[in-house]
Amino acid sequence: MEHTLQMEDAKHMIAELKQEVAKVIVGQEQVVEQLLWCMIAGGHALLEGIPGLGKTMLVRTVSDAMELEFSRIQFTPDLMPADITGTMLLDLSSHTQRFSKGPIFGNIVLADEINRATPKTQSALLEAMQEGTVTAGGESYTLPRPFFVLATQNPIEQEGTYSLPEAQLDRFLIKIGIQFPTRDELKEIVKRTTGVKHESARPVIDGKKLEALQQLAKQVLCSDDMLELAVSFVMRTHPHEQDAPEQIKQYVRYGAGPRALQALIAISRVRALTLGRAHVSWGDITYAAKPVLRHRLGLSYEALAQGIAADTLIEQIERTLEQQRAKV
Amino acid sequence: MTAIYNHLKFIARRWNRTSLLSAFIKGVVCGALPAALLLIVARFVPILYSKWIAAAIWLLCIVMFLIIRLRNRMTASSAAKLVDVELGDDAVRTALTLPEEQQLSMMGKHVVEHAVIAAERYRAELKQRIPWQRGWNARLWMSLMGLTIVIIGSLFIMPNEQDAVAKQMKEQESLIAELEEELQHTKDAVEQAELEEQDKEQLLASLDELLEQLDNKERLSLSHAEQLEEALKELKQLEQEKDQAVQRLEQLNDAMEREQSLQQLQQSLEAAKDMAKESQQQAVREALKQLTSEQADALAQLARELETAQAELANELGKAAEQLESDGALTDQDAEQLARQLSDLLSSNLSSSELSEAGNSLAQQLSDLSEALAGVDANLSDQLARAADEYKANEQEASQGSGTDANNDTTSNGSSDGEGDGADQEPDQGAGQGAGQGAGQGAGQGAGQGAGQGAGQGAGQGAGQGAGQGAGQGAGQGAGQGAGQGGGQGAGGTGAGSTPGQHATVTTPRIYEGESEPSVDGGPSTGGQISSGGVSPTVTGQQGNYSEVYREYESAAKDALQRSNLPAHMQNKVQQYFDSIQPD
Repeated sequence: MEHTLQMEDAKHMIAELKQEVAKVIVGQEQVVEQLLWCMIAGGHALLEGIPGLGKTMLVRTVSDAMELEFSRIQFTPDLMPADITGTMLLDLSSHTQRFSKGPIFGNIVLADEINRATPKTQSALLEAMQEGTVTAGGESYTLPRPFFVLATQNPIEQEGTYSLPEAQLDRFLIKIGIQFPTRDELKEIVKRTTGVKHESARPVIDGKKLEALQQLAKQVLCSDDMLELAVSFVMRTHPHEQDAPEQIKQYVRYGAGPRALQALIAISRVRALTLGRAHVSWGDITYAAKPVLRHRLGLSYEALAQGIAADTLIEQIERTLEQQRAKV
Repeated sequence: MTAIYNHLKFIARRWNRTSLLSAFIKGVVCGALPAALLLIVARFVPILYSKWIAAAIWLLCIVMFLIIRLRNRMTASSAAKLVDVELGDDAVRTALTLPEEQQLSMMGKHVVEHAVIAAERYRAELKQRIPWQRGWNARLWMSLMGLTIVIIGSLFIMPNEQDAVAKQMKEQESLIAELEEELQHTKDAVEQAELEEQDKEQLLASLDELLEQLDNKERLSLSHAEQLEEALKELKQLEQEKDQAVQRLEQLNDAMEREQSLQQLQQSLEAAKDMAKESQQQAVREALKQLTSEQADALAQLARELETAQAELANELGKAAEQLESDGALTDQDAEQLARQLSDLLSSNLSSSELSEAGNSLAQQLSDLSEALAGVDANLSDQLARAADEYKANEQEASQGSGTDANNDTTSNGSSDGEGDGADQEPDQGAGQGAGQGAGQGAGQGAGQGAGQGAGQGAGQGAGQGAGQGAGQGAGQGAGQGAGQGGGQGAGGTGAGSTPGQHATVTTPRIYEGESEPSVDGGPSTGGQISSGGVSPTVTGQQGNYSEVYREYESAAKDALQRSNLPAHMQNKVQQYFDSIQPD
């Protein structure tokens, strides 16, 4: 019953985290939820939304609730890789060189407007994301655990930006789209931010508990049937796949890779854990599909011209698989 | 895990029952379509055992649907999928596919517990989740099933005329097959039999011809069936017409009964007909009595020859049969069959050769018989002449001639009656009153095709002498159902009287105006028309010299003899008659 209790604890902890974040962040439950899944799954998230929607606030609040070290990097075109990773400095007193850690050395790193930095700087960040280490002056420096990069980008303002290449986008476990708040949410935002009293999140879990949650999530069972469905889901994002929907064949240039399947199962497991289950279900997979796959689909110019979103295509795949699954 | 399987088996059983029910109903509906189509077609085209075939198709479809459903019946793993899909958490299949080591882990146990709960929940909600109409539109299919049952039931119950046609076709085919087989056996037997080559070839040729005819009949069986169908329709129509005709006749009968005058007329007509028949029969009896011994011998000889020819035929047939039986190649049945065929064959040969001889003999005998009958006529004439002498003293003479004509055959009837009355007063020396009587005979012939002709002659003698002639014609048509028409006309006879002894005066009715107005009595179904002659009144004649009258009669007789084709001996008889009554 240890695991069951742990699962109950995990479920309780996650629910508590959500509650704490919700004290500061108005609405955006889905965004908060997905962000937490991503962190429990041990991945990095790309948040996409127009400025002023509280992306930075969200990341800061989550770090507060998790009692993790938070750092923020504002990406600009003149930002250099060393500005992120750190720089070798000469210590005049000891006449030695020492490494001055950059802002990447934090548990939660907010890479604000990541697409404004040059590709060289972006790649420096992405190396740290993938390897969990930073190399400077011939030495490698391990990043603290847990390590999360939560990057943001503005989907509208494209001038003077450097879009992330596909290979780098693939490093992000999920891509979270932040929607504009509703009227009620806006009113609540105003009430909370313009008053005298400002709510803040109290720490619910620490890094160790978070790592325990990550380990527990990895133990969640996934049957072969579910794995088969997840594979089919990823495979059908490829336009050359025979079973792919017609829209995929028409509007997608390239589909998701193996990292997408890993991400899909990982997020599905976390979701199952969040719901108190020890196994992955089809609902978990479909729920995880959009944030996992939407930034991994290379849309054609025709799709971009017609305003077809990746989420629409993912829904199409989901429908075809649902029919296949329902056959008894 | 056992608990999960138990729940799953229960769920699968419920699913399979509902599936079988739906399969049965769908089978009933889908099977009814071809069955109904077949039954409808069988109402236009004769199909043997159409109802049985339709029932078999129907049953086969139902069984096929059930078999297909049974082959795809739900198993425990399918039930697990069903539960997972319906409840949406996929615990059951995950639990069932867990490796053993994982089943014992805490996560595995948690999954199994979750699966058991899910299966229990599903089983508890089984009637709601798997209702008996699940997976198919029960209302639609039940309606269709009811409709198809009504249609098929109606087609089964309503009588089909084509069934009888199909049955007859089948019987005909089997009969033809049997005949073919028998003929083949016979042919083999004939080929093996020790017969003369010519006879054998004849037999084989006739057998081949029969076989060919049978083949043609087989090919034409379908067209015969169509003809049979049409004939059945026509029979039905005729039956309706017959009913209508019977109704009309009944109405007519009622009307006739009500009409007294018509009844009287009918009685008088029947009496006249009876009299005519009686007189005719009497005349024949008289003629037979007066047959000479030679004539009787001739008839006896003819009968003996016919018996001899018949015996010879039987003998020939017996010999042929014995010969075939002695060969040992024939069974009793084959021998009997062959004997029948030989009988036919031999009879055909006999008619062509030997019967020509017998025909000549018969012609000769008939010629003798006709001469004898001519003698009978002469005797009758003499008797009539003597009877006339008895009435010579009568002043008033009356002559009556009647001619009847009866014409009977299988399809038509025609009759004509003619009567002529002549009266003459003789105030002269040999005066007295004489009453004349006349007797007429008629003979009729009728053709089988419904046409008949009749000619009648009558001779009467009153106080003087009278001769009457009647002619009748009848024509009839018939179609085998007893419908026919006949018509006849008759002309009144003529009569003349003489007073032998004195030969002073004689009544000569010069003008005989006769007119018959035949009345028609017939109907569409009783067949035939009967026309009976009316009364032909004679106009009062004149008195003249016997010798003058004799000459006129003699010359008229000569003219008539020249025109007619009477045999010479008959002409001699006429001449002898006139010689016997010469005035000088």
